[in-house]
Amino acid sequence: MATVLLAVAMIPIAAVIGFGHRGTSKDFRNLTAIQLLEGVMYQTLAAGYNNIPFGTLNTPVDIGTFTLPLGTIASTTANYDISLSVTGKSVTFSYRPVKIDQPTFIASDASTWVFDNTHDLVFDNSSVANAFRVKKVVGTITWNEPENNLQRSIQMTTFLSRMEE
Amino acid sequence: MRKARNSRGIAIVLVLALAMALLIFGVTYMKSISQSTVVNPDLLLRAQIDILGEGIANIALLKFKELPSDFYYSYYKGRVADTTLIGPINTFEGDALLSGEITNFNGTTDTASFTTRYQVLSQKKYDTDTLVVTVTLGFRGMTREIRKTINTARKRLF
Repeated sequence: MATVLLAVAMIPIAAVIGFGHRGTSKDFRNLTAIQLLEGVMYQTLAAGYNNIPFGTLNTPVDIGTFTLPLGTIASTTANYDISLSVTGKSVTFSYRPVKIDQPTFIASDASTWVFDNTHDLVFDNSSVANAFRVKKVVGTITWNEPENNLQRSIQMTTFLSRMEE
Repeated sequence: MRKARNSRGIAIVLVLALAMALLIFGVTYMKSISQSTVVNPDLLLRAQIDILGEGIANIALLKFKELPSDFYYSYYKGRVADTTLIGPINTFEGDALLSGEITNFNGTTDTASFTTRYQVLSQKKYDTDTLVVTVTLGFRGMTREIRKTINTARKRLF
């Protein structure tokens, strides 16, 4: 009787422990993916505008001082694929300039400053002078869950600015 | 004979105690797993928001670099000399890419929102300033602030 009770009690307990282990493994793969992509995005920000080419990047990119680890990264828990999508981003900078041609304007007296209506400075690649100055970078990491072969992915987005003229 | 009869149920008691102990262990284990999986999405959100904030701060610095005098006039008029005239500095900080939203952020159906604020920390005895760009972002209930600080030099006008 006691043996039967012990055997029956073990079935749900074993199931609970098995479920917990699968959850831990899935959690670990998720965390690894977050950390891998976050690292690549910070490296991309450090690389700067000129070192990150336009297009879909899914192979390692040589920055000079380091290599951006894109493509497949093998891990003990899963194989991760990291890619970047880099596109030009049109930006419009709005501002209100001071009318310095006003006869009452005194640079050292803020009470005399008169501001004009809103002006726009546009970088939309419509001309050489208005070439893109901002790149939109979308990083994606994908991997397959071993239990059900379901593909999972995570995205992160950032922008790079070209400070040089 | 009497002693053997009295000890007959001890095995069931032991088995029930053992099963109870294992059950408590299993439930505790499941509880810890469920709590750690709640932390996971928060870590992802934090990373996504911080990475976006770095990018928006980059754009804010580009705008300052392209329009330095317009920034200084707007800033000093609205934040130092006459704090009632905030229109020009609000226009400067109010671009859609500095204070706006990104819908379907990172492949979700949700929207990320953000605002950008410039702050000049003047060093009055010198013609140098420290410019602080603060980007405040919100996504799925989480709010984060990203700050970038640069040193600038200028000719003081007043």
